[in-house]
Amino acid sequence: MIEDLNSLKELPKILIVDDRETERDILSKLLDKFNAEIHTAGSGQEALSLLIRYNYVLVLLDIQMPIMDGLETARLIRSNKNTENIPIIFLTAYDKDEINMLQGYEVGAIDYLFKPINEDILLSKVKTFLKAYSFEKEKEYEKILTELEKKNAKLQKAQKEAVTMMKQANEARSIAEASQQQIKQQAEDLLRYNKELEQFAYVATHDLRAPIINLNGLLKVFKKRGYVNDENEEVVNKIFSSVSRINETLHDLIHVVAYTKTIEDEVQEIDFDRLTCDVLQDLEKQIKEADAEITLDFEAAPKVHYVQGYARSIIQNLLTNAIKYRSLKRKLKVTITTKPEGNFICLSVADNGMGIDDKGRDKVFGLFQRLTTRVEGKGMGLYIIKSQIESMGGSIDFTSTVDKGSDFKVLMKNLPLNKTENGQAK
Amino acid sequence: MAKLNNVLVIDDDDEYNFLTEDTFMDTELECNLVFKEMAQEALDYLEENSFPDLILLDINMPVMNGWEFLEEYQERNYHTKHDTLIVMISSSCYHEDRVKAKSYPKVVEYIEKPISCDDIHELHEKYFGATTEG
Repeated sequence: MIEDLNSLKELPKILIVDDRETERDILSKLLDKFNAEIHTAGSGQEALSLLIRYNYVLVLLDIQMPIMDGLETARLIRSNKNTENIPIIFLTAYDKDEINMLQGYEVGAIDYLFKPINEDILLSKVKTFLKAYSFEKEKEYEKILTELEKKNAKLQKAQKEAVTMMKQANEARSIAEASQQQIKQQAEDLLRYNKELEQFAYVATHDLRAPIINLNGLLKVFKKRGYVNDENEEVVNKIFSSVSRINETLHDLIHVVAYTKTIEDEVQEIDFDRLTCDVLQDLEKQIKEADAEITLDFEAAPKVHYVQGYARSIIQNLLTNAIKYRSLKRKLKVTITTKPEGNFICLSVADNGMGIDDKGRDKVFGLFQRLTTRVEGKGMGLYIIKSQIESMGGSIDFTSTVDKGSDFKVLMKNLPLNKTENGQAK
Repeated sequence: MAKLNNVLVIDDDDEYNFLTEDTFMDTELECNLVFKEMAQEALDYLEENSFPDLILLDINMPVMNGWEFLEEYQERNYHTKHDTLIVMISSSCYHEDRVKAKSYPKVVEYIEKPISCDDIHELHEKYFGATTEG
């Protein structure tokens, strides 16, 4: 593009081709008046070699030359792609044969000049060509300029777009950074809330439990010292049960909030039969009241390595629920079984109780959920054992049919035994 | 094994101390109980009197808590100079507290409040030889 522009600023070049030096000199002098660069060649060959090197606006070509005459030279000029469009003015003697030949010969001659050259005619013709040339050049120049402008505009537009895109990219990045910051902040908040909750639980354990423990103890002393009589007995007993209810709620709440993360050192070999019998003893009163028939079968998987306390609370909770949610239409039957499942032991507690409908299904493991008002409880049991089971890498689920019964299945992961505590299972 | 004669109870909770005393009475062990409601008072007491056979130590106390008391106890080398056993008493059912307690020398048990007759009898049998009287 720039080269093109430079070539546009150059003076137009005119080539004079004649084998006679005097003719060349005369023509050169005549054309000096123009603002143009004049080249001369003494032969067709010389003309061709100059034509390769320079761009000419016009060639004045003598026809009668030795070796390669003007016609032959013109033919060669026309046959070259780079020079085919250069205007040629033939210089010819006023000879009938020559003119005929020129007319019949399609070399694209633009004009003729007859020798001896008439100065005025020559100048006016050359002038016309130069004018046409500069007009063409100007047009070309304008065209190039327009193109340049277009290209510049395009470039500017592209640059603008690039800047916009970069801006957008920066915006996107800062948004990403902001949201990352937000996530980090949220994680920190969550951690802090968690910590606060733990602290709350700790305070609750001590500051709330301590006076309740005292109340309970003081009431016992009150009873023990014989201050209770027929008149106040009912009131004292009600105070007793209220206090013990607060105590239990608090105890459970603490377990929900602060159940210990991993208690690997408490992993023991657990004998399902022995543990379940212990639990049955604890629940003796409730089982008797409900007149429940409980069947145990741990033959397929008699033992598991687990946290003793968790295993106990799992069985106790599931059994208590089975009793609580028994059907009043029939005698309660509960079957507790185990079977191995890979590295897990699947514990099943199946009953023939009320069952759980689809609405209850989602609530079963929620906090403070009680599915009926008929039963007592705080609705924390299943929530607690679910957290315990999951913290040990296991899971709990159930199948249930309304008025037929429920079957709770717990996948208990066989945990690695702690060496120091090994064999100390009670 | 030493006989369980003297017990130092360190707890800021006055009502609870009343219950502890009552419970000890029920055991009929005839121990001599000394109560201190501040850990610092207990340290001063130990400095000037003969060491008890057993210390019942509460964890959550204002000014100096049970842990800080244990640090100071170690700092003064009481744990190497005396046979006194320490039992942590707390209403905290935190597993971490239980584990932490066992990391201190001379701390032999961790009992969740309230301490019962059975707890005291068990301590008596386990660490002070004798089979329970009465």
